[in-house]
Amino acid sequence: MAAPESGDGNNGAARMVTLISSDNTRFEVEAAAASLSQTLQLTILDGGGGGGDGIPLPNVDSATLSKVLEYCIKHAPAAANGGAPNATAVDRAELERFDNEFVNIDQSVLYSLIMAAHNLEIEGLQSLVAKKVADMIKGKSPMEIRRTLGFPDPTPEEQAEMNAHMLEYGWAYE
Amino acid sequence: MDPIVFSTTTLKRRRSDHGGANKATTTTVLHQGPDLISRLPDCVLGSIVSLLDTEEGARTAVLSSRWRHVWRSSAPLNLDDRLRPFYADRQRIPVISQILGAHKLGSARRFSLRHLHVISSISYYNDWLLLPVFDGLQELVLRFPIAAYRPEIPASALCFASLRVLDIYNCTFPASGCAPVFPCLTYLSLRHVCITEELLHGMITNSPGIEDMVLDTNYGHRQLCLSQPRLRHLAVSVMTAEKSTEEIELEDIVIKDAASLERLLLDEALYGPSVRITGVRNLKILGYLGTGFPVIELDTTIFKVASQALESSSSHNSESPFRKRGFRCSGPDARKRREEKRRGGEMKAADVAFKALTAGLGFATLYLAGTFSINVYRGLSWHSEQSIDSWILPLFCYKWMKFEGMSTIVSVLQLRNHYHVSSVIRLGSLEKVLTVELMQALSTCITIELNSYVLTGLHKLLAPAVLRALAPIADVSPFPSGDEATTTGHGRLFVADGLPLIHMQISASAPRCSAAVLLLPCSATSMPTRPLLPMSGQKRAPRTAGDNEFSTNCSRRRSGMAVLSSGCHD
Repeated sequence: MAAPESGDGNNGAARMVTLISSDNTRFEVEAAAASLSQTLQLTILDGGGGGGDGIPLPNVDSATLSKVLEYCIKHAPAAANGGAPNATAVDRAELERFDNEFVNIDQSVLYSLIMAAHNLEIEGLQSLVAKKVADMIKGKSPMEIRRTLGFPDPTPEEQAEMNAHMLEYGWAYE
Repeated sequence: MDPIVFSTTTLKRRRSDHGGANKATTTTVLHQGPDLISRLPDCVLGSIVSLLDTEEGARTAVLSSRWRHVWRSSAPLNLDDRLRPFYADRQRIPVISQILGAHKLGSARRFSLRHLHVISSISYYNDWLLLPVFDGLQELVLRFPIAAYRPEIPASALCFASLRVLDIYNCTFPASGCAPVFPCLTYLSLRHVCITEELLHGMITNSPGIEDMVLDTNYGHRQLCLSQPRLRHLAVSVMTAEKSTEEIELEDIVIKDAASLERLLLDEALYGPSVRITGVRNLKILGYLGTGFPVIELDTTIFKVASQALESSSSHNSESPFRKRGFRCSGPDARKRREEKRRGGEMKAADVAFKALTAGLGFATLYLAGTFSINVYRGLSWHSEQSIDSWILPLFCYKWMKFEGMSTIVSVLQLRNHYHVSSVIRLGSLEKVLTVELMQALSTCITIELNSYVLTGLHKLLAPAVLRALAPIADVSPFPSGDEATTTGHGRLFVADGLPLIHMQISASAPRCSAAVLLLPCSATSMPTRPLLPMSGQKRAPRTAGDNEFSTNCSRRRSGMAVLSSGCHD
């Protein structure tokens, strides 16, 4: 197995790693992109994922993984720069636009994505999806939020708890 | 290789939360059905709730039993004392205490105190900031009530090493002591604070990650010399009215190695610090260049105030540029301009009615109508023979620079957030200015930058006006509704490759440098080669006359604005 390179990954041809989704689909990506995941980063630094092996990800299916990798590949160059001078305003704006499109997705896909981002510890993606859900909640009444997120109607006990809360935190409901 | 199994703890917790959940749900992706979001682990739900406003976060407790404890236990606290705008301090303080009490055991992400108005309220600040919930605080906004004196900032406010955002308003820093250290800080805003040179310098130097910095009307220091290679946005302003005789203000700012600097905003001022910045490689936005800044040096490019330059080189200049180009035109171009002026007059009834969310209250609705001066259109005609100031000057650019080592700046329009109405009119008029032909002729990069206060209420109105003109070449994305002070971005549009770049941005980091429009040529080849201010060929007017005319125009403009302003705020 290849000796671990230093973190910058710029030595000659980009190093590739293979990721295996829960349904056994293999994804080959640049190590720099996969390293956006804190979880994978350690394995990759140890030299894992190269050659014929691959890093199995039993909690992520192929559809979600391909979506996650789409994000990682897009964000890898900017992350490598660490916001250094090369990451110009245009790049930033382009990434922002990409992000907006990226989370414009169905709720079940969003859910898978949140879980994958959480499990793989991809910081940028975590905050992106959290912001997306927060935007779905913002400016809505509890009733509207329930409808948006598909919550079941409150049970009588929940209704009672709700009333108690409204009494306690009256300032939040005025 | 062993498979990586992720975060079994959260999966277990999730299973226990939903007793009946089986293996299929733990693999998460196969599950179809309603209410997926509630199945997320507590920490993820917490991070979502933390992004909501304080009241909205509290309200999530009534969504379902799953969400009941998320706000109190799992969500890093986002406490903004904005709450209800009509609250007096005696209503606001108990609510803050209640929230802090409910989060005794949790953590906090953001703490914003800026709506307490009674000076005695600040006795709470120190007690609150010492609570363990704030140990890992990331964002701190601390604005002190206006009083006859600037209260001293509690020492506890400067002890959060985890801070990413620090925004302080109207207070005095300790006169001596160690400079605080903020290794994670990316945003620093100091407004109306009194701070010694050593402390300010130490604090900024100890925070090498600062990307956005706002220094607005601060006292107690004369010079600031920094080396900030990561600084991207800088806004500097001093007292705009007149130089204070009692207090020391910034006179000289030097920034070395500003390799990342993209936006430099210097608020209009009648006087201001000299600005020297070296290592500039990425500057895209420069404005507003008031005449108050005696000298602005960006590497080898030096901007000096025109009147001063004229004074020093009177033998080379034929006439005050204000006279010659801006307000009195002669020759064939003038006739054309007068023609335009007349046509512009027909359109001058640019009545604008709008609703503006006032910054503090959030929902006061203001209606105002303004009539638009024909002067706006006077100089719009662009001819290759003309220098740029001949069309830009009548567009409210009542001051401008003489460029020495001229390289980038063409001109700047000043749009102040204090005068909402005039801002609208001006922005409304941009569609007349920013024609496709004009932009192509200039091959410009055009930036329109708007303060979030303006945008909060006005984006709906002004965006279409400006964007319509740009639609043929621009990929227009809508503005989001702005949340003052927490929003720092967005609403941008770009044109396709090879065409001019248009970039609109809401900025919360530019307090009174509200909006600047400037035209930067993308490439040197497309730049007009003649100097921006004509150097000869006209009979020189007596200096005094030129000056008088300038000041008259100034005062007229100012009084007009004052009227609009008072109407706006009433």
